[in-house]
Amino acid sequence: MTSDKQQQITVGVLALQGSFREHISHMEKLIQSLKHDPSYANKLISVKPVRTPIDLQQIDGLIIGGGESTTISILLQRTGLLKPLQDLIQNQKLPTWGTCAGLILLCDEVTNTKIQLGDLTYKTIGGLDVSVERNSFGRQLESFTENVPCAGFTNSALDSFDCVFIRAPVIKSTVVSSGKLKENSVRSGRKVHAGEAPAQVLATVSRNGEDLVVAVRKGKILGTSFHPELIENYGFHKWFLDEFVIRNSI
Amino acid sequence: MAQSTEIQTSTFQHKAGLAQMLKNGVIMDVTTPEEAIIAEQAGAVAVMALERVPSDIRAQGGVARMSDPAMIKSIMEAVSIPVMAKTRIGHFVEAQVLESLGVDYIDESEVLTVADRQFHTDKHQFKVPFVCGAKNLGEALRRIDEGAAMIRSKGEAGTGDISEAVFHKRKIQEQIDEVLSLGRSAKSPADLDAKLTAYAQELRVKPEALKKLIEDKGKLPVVVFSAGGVASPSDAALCMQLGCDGVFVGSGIFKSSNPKLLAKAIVDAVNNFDNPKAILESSTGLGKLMFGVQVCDLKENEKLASRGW
Repeated sequence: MTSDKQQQITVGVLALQGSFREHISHMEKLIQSLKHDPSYANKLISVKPVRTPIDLQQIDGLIIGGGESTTISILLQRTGLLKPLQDLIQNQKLPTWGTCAGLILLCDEVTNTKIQLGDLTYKTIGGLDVSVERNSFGRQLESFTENVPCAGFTNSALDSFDCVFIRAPVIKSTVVSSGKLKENSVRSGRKVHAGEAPAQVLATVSRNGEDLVVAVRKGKILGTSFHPELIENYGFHKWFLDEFVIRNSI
Repeated sequence: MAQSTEIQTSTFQHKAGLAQMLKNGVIMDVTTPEEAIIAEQAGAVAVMALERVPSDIRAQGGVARMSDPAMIKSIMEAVSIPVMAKTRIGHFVEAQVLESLGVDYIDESEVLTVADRQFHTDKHQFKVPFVCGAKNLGEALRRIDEGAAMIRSKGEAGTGDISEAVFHKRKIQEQIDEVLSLGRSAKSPADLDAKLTAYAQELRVKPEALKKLIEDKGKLPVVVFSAGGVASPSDAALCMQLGCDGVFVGSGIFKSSNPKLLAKAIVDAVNNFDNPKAILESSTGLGKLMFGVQVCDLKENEKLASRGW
């Protein structure tokens, strides 16, 4: 049932490679669950895959899922999606959430990576002025699940969440220096505007006495090292929809 | 700022989860760090490290074993994407060795010589995830029951002939459809039980596995890739259009005249699998593809897919 008064909200899911069907399926389940919720009665929420620049028209939020960031970086460039996404996310402040590879692609600096990718180079969309290290916990055998408290940063929308980390990245620094790049590192080259608030650390996991940053936000950009799309619970998707997409459009 | 507690590792979710991250991707066979880098730069989501590609194993014969760990390690060091390696069917010690080495995935593969003519490796005993080949639904469900976290078709490796991979994918789907139709046509729960038990017997699987398949609306609990005989961008797109989650390319790439170009073209074709114009572009000017062997010219004992059961 649609009426002129209903507000259309469309969440795009970047569908080039990786766990995009899982994100779409979570969004569909979420939308279904909100059908009879009176607080969403005036909203017509939908989800759609994004594969080409045309698909970017009329989206109110974007999810970039897990996968191989090298492959996705190549495909972003070959499909012509990289530049329009940079504009949408950096300048037009499109609410965007990246999980694992998606997080990496939203960072302004990536370490422990490959730079040359054939006729292309490893490029990220950027927007989060943080430095992220790929495969930071190690290889597949080091993949893990950890229950992470979320009440603090979700304003109690979520109490805690079973976070699945697979060959996961870690945010090593919430400052991107303009100094010399380390070996095997790249920067997005995005200009940080004066007065821009720094990225905010949302969650950490503790290893050998060190707190490793696994979730950050900066304005309308959310990045998580873990994969909420891999577990049955779509609570994290609801939080992204409510806090980033809907609040943005009010 | 939140801090966490409680850690679990190497669960089925982690094993199957890595395979989910490889979806809509191409996994390429490589024999040297240089080839691995070409694969990574072309956009491969993972590489399979092995000493001889299937077409060489086919041509040279002899016993095909797990590759030299030093060679696998050199490939692990050369690329940032996941590295897989093969063990012989049932050779759980080769699997222990590869797990100690720290590979990201093990392929229990019919491309190598069979080590155990009765049992496949008990994959539940391992922390490292396994991918296994399957020609039909029964084989796929048996491998999943043994702990496989990813399934691939068992197309005739090293032939460059896609027909067997297509046959396996269609067979698996046809049998899933049959299970679903049993679910729909059952007159009572007892009738369903009887029908599923009979079909489970035919497929040599547990009836519970078929019940689960009905509950999950025909979706297998793991990712299904195509493997065996993929030699061109169109082959890869064909597998994707038939519903595969991704593609393994074995001998096809590095047995062609221009591996760099073909590797990139196959990645592009998987990305644009439903766009004929894009596949046309990917298919143009690739030089000589792998020469290949027609599967129908092979004798029964020359078929690798008959290894494993």
